[in-house]
Amino acid sequence: MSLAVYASAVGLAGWRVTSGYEDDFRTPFPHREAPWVTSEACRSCHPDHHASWERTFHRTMTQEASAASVVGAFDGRVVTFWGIRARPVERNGRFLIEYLGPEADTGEGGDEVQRTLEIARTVGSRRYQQYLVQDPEGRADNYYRIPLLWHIEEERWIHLNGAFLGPDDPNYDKHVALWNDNCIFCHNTGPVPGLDNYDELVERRTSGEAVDISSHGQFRSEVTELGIACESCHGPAGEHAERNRDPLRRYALHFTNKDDPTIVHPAKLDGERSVAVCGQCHGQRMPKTNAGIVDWMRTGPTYRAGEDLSEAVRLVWRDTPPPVPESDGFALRFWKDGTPRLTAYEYQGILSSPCYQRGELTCLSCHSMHGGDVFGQLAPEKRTNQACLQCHGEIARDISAHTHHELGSSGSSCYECHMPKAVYGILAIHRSHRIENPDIARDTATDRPNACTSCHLDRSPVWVAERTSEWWGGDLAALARTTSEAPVSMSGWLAGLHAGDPVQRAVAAEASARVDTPLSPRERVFIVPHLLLALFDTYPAVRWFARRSLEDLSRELATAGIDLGLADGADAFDYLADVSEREEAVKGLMRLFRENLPGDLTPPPEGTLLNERFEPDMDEILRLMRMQSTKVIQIGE
Amino acid sequence: MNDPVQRSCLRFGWTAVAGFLALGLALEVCHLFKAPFYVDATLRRELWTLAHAHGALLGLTTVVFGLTAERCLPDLGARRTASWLLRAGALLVPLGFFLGGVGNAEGDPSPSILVVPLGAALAFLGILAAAIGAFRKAD
Repeated sequence: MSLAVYASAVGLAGWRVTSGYEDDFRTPFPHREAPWVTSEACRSCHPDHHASWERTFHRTMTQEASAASVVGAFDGRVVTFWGIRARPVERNGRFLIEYLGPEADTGEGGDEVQRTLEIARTVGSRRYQQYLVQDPEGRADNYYRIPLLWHIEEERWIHLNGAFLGPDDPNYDKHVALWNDNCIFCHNTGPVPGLDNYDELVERRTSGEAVDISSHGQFRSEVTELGIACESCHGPAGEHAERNRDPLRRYALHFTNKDDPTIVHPAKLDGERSVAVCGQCHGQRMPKTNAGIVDWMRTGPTYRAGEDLSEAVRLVWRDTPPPVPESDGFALRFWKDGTPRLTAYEYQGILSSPCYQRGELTCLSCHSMHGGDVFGQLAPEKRTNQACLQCHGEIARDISAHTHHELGSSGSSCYECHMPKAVYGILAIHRSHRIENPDIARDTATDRPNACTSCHLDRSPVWVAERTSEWWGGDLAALARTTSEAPVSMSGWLAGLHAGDPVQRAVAAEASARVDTPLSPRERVFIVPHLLLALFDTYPAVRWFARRSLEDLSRELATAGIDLGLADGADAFDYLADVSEREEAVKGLMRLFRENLPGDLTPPPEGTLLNERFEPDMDEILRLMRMQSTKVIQIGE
Repeated sequence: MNDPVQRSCLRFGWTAVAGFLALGLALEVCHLFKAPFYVDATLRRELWTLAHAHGALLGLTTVVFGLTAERCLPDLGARRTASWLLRAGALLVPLGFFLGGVGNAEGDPSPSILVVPLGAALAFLGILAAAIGAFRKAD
């Protein structure tokens, strides 16, 4: 009886409670007016979401330097680039970079520490980790990125000049950069750069002094939280946390299953606003106006999750006018048809995709910040065709009939054909996020790496055009109408590797060691001499991919009984060494290749510019190399 | 063991101990197989662990009550009332914790959790009666 009374009283109270909050739940809330509170405030009510975010690389994007956050080897071993000797070392829990005297002085005080920088913060924790130091000239709130970074997978120190996409350049401090006016925006939550002396800089410039914000700005930067935390995607949560201290309100939300207007739920936004949440950082953009740049530098970006991103920023596209008119602007960051070819342009890729424009695709169709593995934030099934079959279910009935490739092969993977790896970023090649059908004529005309020739490494665009026309119809003659410099009758991969611009060359070098190509190991030997030539590339990042592919391919060939003896040499090849040292190393690798090449191999395929002894046709290859774009690409990150 | 209160307390108490230890085993099996509905739900883990612990401990308390009640509360009527209060509490507290973890929100238990304070009050009154009785007996 008492239980029944108790239950009735509770039920009545529940009804009163839910009806009492109806106005609250109906009234839209201006998120931007809410204070920021950090992820700690979210943890008590959302422990599982907090835990699933805490394991991600978003959280560890920026961290205070500590034994827990620093992954580089601060072990006292000297790291030398272009004669400048640095010694990363840990002393009493402090992480230091000690710059030593030049090597020539080693006998007399060469190990004398000339300058010491203390690591204050780290940036990145997945592929590589960069390090920030406080301004050694006294502006303590100004943080600078140092030129050394730790490559996590390779477990070695490398120099920024070899991590960014740019030609060889021995300028040691070329990529030293201010954190407060750049990295702060996307690698942290609730950033406020706090430029303090803009008016003074304007005055100094007016009086003829050469000043700029990066070199002379005084910042008092603040962030709600280092790293990318809850409020980056859910909006400032102060009001949400405050209102939900009321347990009756919380239960009213649970009972009625209504959305809480005080917080943003990206999955419940319309498609445009949902992708914008990710696009605020995964889509290069600028303030709406040049005056807005100063506001950003003072008070930070104005966009908040859930809002219309286009009202706050101008997205960067291929034809966006550059801030410096005489520069190449943004054109080189896109393929010629406007498809992004660098990371941090995924948003532009999605916006250009038919699946978004005519379908219901959002970032959350495949990615989840609270699920899946942290490498890509993809659930296991979203790494398979299931990602696309959510919408394209009719293809699932007979995938091979659609792909004309064996089921389970790469040719039957939606990703390989519709999102090929053709995007450069942070010393890796990533999938294009412009989801579309492969088109050899379009790709040839726009110098884009083609999905078919990136796998069928020995095949030409002409071969691809014939196959695709036969299988899926289309205009076979379209290829003939394109104006490609490299012959379309030769291997498309090879044309990219030798005649392409730096991004094409990097993509081709990375594709060289694919294990899912239809070529057998014996049929892949022809790739080796071309990778050896790619080690001479003038862009260190291209050499990086060539070196890694050469090592991987050599090991795989050795496993298949073709031991060319190159794997260790490729592993030891220092892609940032002086040119003479590198040339000697490559010559040694070439010699090994000639000596260890089995005599019973079938001749290389036609169109691969090798004779029967696998010697390259250097006249033809040099002709291809002369087609390389002379435009210098200089891209950070 | 002619006292009917003692008999019912011992039956209830040992059954509760057995039942809630079995729940503990089931929770360990959930850990063994990494059952996502349990290991990935922080609040449910906490609530079900509380159900297991409170159920077993209150079961043991009921056994102790049964063994000592006759000495603490010589009056059969008072003993019956205290026993009923304790057993009701010993059932409702773990049940409330357990059901609070069924269909719950991420940060809040389901409304069944409201059974817990009710059960706790009943158990408290039963034990309070025994405690007062123990003082009186000592007097």
